[in-house]
This record gives sequence, structure tokens and C-alpha cells, in this order.
Amino acid sequence: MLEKISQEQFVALITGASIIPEEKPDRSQNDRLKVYKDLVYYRFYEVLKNIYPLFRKEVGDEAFENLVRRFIGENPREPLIWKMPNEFRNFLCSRKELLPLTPAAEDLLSYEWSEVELLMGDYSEIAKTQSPGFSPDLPLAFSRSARKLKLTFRVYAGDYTSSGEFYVVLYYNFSDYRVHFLEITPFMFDLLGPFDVENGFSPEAALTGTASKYNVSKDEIGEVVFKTLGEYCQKKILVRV
Amino acid sequence: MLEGISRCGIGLRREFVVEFAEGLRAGRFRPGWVEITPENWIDMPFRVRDAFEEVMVSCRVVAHGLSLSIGSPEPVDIQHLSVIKNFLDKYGIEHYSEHLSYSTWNGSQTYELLPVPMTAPMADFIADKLKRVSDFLQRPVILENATYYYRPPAEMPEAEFINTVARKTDCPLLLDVNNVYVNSLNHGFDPRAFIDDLDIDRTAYIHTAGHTYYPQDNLFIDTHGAAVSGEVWDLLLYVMQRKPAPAMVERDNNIPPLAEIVSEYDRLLEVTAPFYEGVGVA
Repeated sequence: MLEKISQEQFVALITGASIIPEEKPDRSQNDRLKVYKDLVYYRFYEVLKNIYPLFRKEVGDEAFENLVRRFIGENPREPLIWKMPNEFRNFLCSRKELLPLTPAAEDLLSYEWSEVELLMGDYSEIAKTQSPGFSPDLPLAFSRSARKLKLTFRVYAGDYTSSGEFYVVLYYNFSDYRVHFLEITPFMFDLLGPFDVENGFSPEAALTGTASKYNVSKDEIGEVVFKTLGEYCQKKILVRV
Repeated sequence: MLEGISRCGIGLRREFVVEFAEGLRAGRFRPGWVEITPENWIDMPFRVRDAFEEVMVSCRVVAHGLSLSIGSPEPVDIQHLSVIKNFLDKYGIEHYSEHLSYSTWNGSQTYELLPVPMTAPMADFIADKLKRVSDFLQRPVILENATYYYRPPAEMPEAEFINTVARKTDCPLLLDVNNVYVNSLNHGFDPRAFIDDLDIDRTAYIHTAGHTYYPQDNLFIDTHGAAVSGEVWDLLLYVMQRKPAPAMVERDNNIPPLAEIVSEYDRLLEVTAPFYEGVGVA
């Protein structure tokens, strides 16, 4: 169908898709093709620039723009434009050769995308519930309004050079409607793992398992750990099931 | 005519939804109806969710989609259309409009409204696809005339193409007078003659908006980011003389404070009021 060929050529030209048909659309309208190319580019660029300000700053404007153009040509498929940056992130993380510019790139993408996901969540049920009083025996679950990340760089503290193993909890703050972070220890990161279940998990059992793994006395650290978990309940990082 | 939709409306935006909901509650401002873009509210920042839902239960609503891509050759993305349908059903939104254009190719997104070839086979194809979409959504799809900066292959004038698709599907039209005006400037035709050629009785509601001139490209772009120009107000009057229909001002970029939106709305009310008297657009 003539129409299909014409549309295919048009889209290939304005997106820079890898396969460009041999026959070109009406070249007398080259300037107008460029307008569409720019419109498509800026549609992506504006969204990605807003979602990944730290990543963009770190890789530099020119490299960022090239990555955006490369991504547009790779047939992004996400219908909802706010989720497109996650596809951009996945694309870059699967094509690591495109990211030689900064070692912290993957962490920045992961951290900044987690912030956006948390801002866009529907926490109607969580918001309505009162923070549960903490009890070591009552099961708790890790909240949808929080994320745990294991990172190679302390990107949340603006350090993109000293590598290591760093752990952070990002959580939605229901008072100021912003995403906050807490740097946590490897012990706390492991302790929070068992709470990633729908039916919840007992803090007592989580402590038992993690203390054993780290070969520390549960009795010695119990008070401090439970106090911290109680604070997480206040912040709705952990919620009653 | 769209049931429950009369006189003038506004486009609801995240930027002012909280203030808008407060205004509704306090009785400060209540437009005839609001238009929302499902793709911007299917997911939304949690801080605006309560305000949005308050507006949904307090106001008459028209949904104006962005992602249907009715002119793409691939079949409708049923998974995505289900998301749209669930959203419309959840909030009890009966009226749904979309663009006579395409934005995807074999599932790849451009997020831009691209011009469809204006040919008889394309009209047949779109009409058939539109019927499937309407059947799935269990609502008619109101079709909007789009802007185009590149002239696609065409074997008939744009107005005839729109009329053909509308006739084949018996769909109502969303007439965007700014789009007509912008196309007339970029492609050198008389916008009033275009309106005369259009099957204007199908008009369910009307968009007006602002546009911007880019001298380096010698091109007018439908930016939805500026005030409505005098020429577009004049064209709106020309349309209203022929088909009084509910109308609204669209703003998608450079969203001003709500007070400015209200001023635009008041101007729209003033301009259109004489045409609503005694014509059933109560």
C-alpha cells in the first residue's frame, strides 16, 4: 500500500531509525522533514532532561544529546511518555559501550528513575493508614512507597568518583510530597530483604536470620535494630500488612 | 451534541489541579466542563491525586487522548487501549476524543502527531480501525483535525478527507480552529473556505489555542503555549456563526497560573455567549 510505504519512509527519516528505505519522501519538503525531526527529538529530550538532570550534568550536554538521538532511533515502545525514561535507562544499561563517559552513569540512572517512580505511585491506601506501632512479632512489609538500592557510587551524596558498595533507602515522604533518602548499612539492607513479601515478615525472624548471617549477637543489637525499624514504620518505609 | 457538555470548558493540567480543586470547593470558579488527557492522569504524582479525583466527581469531563495513533498501519494496541478504557470507566468519562494522525510505527513511539496520507484507501483504513476502537471502548471516538507541517501524499483536500472518515464512521468531530488557522498559514489556503467545506454539523466541541511563528523555518507551529491570536478568535466566531458548539482554550506548554486560565476562559465565555442563546447549547 502506497500510504504505508510513504509513512514508513517518513518515520524512518524523522527518527533516524536504522533502516532507512531506499525511496525517500518528497524531498522538496526537506525543511519540513527537519521540523518533524526536531519536534520528535525535543519531545524525547525535554522529558529525559527533566527526569535525569544529574545524569545529564555528569555525562555532559553533547554526550547526553547524542544518547537521546541514539535512543530515538532504537524504536522505543512505551506508550506512556512518563515511563519512557525507564526504557531509556534499560537501553543504556544493556548497551554499556554507550556509557564510557562516567563510571557512575548506571547508578545515576537507577537513582533518578527510582525517585520518579516513587513520586508517581498511587499510595492512597498507605496514606490513609496510621503508622503502625512497632512490635517485633507483628509482620511488616516493605512499602510500595519506598525502594532499596545497592549502588557502586554514593550518587545520593554527589560523589561520583569513589567506588565501593553503598546502600540507600529512598522513600516517599507523605508530609512534603517529596522523595527522601536514608543511607543504610549492608546489615540493614540485608535485614530489610525478607520484608519484600506480600504477607509481611516478622521483624524478630528477620533479625534472627540477619544476625546469624553477620555472626553478631541478636540480643546485643536487637534494641537498636528495632528502634530503627520503628522509625521506618513512622516513615511508612515498612507497613503493617 | 455531547450529553452534559455545554458552553465553555478548560483543559485541566497538573500544574494547577490542586488550586483548581480548592476553587471548586470554595465556589470561586466552576467551568462548564473540563477536558483531561488520560495519558497524563493514568499515572500521576501522588500529591495531586486527591485533587484530581475531586475534580472528576465534581465536573463534567471530556477525555482527549494522545496515544491512539489511529493512522498507524499496525493493529490497535489492545493492551494500551485497555488501560485507556479502564481509566475512562473508572472515572465514568463518556466522551473521548483523539487526533486524526499517527504517532507510532510498528509499535515504536515518536510521541508526536504525524500527518496521515489523505487518500481514499487511508480513509477506509482509518474508518475501519476507528470502528474497532469505538467498539472496544464502548464509546464513540470524537475525531480532531490535526496540524501538519509536512504535506503528506494526498488525493483529496484535507476537509474532504476528514468528512470522508467521519461519514464512514459516523463519528463526531472536535474542530480545532487554531489547527485550521496554522495549516492555512503554512500551506496557503483560506481557513474560512476550509470551514465551509467541512461537514460542520458533526462538530461536537471546539478547541482554540495559541501558536508560535518560527522565522528561521518560516513556519507556524501549533505550540499550545501562547495566548490565542486575534485571527483565531475571529475564526472561532466564524465557526460559531455556523455551528454553535461547546468550546475551550487548550494550553499544553508554558502553562500559566490558574488566574490567567480563568481570564482566558472568561474571554471565551464572552465571545461565545451570544451564540449559545436559544440554540440548545444551554
